[in-house]
Amino acid sequence: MSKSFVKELQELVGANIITPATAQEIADYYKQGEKERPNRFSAVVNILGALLVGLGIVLVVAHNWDELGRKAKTFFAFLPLVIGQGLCLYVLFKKKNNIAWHEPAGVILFFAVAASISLISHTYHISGTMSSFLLTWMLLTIPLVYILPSSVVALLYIAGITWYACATGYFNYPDDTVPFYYLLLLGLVIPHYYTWLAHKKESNFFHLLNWLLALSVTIVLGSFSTGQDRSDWVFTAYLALFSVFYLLGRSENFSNKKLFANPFLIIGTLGTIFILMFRSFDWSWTDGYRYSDIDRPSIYSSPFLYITIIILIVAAGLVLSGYKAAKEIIFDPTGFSGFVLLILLLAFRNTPHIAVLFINLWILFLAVFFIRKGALQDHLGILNFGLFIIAILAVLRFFDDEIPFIWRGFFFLITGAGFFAANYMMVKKRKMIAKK
Amino acid sequence: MKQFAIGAFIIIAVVQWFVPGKMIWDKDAVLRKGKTFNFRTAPVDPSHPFKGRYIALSFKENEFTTTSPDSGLFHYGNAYVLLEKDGNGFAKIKNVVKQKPGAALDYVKASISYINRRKDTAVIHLLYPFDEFYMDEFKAPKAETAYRESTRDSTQKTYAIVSILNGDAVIKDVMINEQPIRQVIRKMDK
Repeated sequence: MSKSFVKELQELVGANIITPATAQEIADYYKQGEKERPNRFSAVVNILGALLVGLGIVLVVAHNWDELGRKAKTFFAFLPLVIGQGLCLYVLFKKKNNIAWHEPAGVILFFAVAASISLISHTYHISGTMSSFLLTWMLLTIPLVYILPSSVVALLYIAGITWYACATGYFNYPDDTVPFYYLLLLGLVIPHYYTWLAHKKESNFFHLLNWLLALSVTIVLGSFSTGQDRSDWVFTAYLALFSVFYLLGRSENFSNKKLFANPFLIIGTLGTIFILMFRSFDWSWTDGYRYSDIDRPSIYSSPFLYITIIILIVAAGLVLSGYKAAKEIIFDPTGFSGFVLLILLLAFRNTPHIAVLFINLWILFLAVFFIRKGALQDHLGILNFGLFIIAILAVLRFFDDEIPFIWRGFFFLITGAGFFAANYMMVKKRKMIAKK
Repeated sequence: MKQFAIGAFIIIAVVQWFVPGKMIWDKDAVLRKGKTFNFRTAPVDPSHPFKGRYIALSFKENEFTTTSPDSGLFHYGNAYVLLEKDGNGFAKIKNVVKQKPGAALDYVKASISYINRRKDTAVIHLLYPFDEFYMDEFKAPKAETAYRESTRDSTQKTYAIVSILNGDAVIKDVMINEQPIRQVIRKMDK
């Protein structure tokens, strides 16, 4: 408890606002809270220290000590492992529930495993690929997440499997490999995720875990596309994924969180708007066909069509479960964007002008939804986000040669006036509430 | 619960030892029992974020022309390269097959980078699993230069000594004119 807080309590007692007994109760309450989380600061410092030491070991090993013979190198390959495992065993025996110990111990062993594999690889000049290196490393360290248990290792693991998927799917040109193992590797961390979701939803680790998971899945989804896939479907799958994120972010588990603690809502919303804006251009429909149809037989033969449908089934499930859980149904169109694009692609792929018109209308609809929601909830942030969507759409259409100047001019005038009117009404409403 | 955690940790600790241990065991067996081949090299300072700096080797004997290619090869992926020695004692490809050969033969597992089909023949281009030679980070750039210059100069002989056992391979050393590359750099420094 800080000194200033104690002083303030004394001041409140002095001013007869609270009794000395209440002051004591308040002090006891905060002391109890401090006891329950005794070493958060030292835990953070230790974890950062362990991260630096772990990375340091990896770098020292990467120097490649030529002067050492093969036997000495082998000895040193196991040395970090011995230290890391020794630390973990000590933690398991003596410091089981001490976060300042088990998290750093896990981090050190996590990097020790990498150092060990690297040292042996260069001792024997093993040329393995980055993906096989990462796969071995991640599989050898995932048990630490559960045994110690270590949440920082879980975060590092998610980063590691994302790197693995990128190394396999993106950086492996011209090989058309799909990182299927990523799904399995991701599955291995899900039980850990559920433990946090069920018991420690308000913890910072849980927020970090959500951020990393959301980013990881967003980064990796595209790596599943192969030469067989048309870019149309990849974009639709991404929009479907962002719809799922948005719906997750609005679900019971996340909707009451602060914005920064709700990565699904942030990534879902921004991603949805981004993809829709991209698809609101005529060329994003026509150019894609011109190139991709040459040697890709049918729109239905793209594996990404089926990935999109699977993701949309998940989205539909989330919509239904959301309706079941909610007492009153509030219609929110953002989460349906994935479905809209799928339908437009299937129905109007040969008449892109109509598809583009619908996309623009859908974006306007979303913007109006956010403006209305902001006005109803008296939330300037949401209201301005709606206006921001219209502004972006306006800027994009400003450069769109396909629309006559006169129409564009009217659109701009009306939108600009809308901005002034909406904010004026909102501020007026607030003033009236303040007066009452 | 604690006992379970400790038991589980011991198991994973053993696995964490087993994986690098198995790598050592396998590669050491190749060095001890394997037959050595000298691969002539043809003409970067690359580095791996975990393993450090290395010399990227490319080999002259990395393609094989055949009139009757093994049909399985056209699925790409891995293949087995049967080796023999030429008149000068350098490694030479005898054949490339999809099925694993018998233990009595000298072969190495490689991957097919591409196949160039011509009218009557097919040229199979191969990637060997031993194209990285790791060195001290300060010596590796010099070694790379020495290696590149000597491979460009046709009067110099640059080759890698590779030990081969049951399809697995380990580089023992890289030689420039019968001298280990580390020795060549040491002389350059003097």
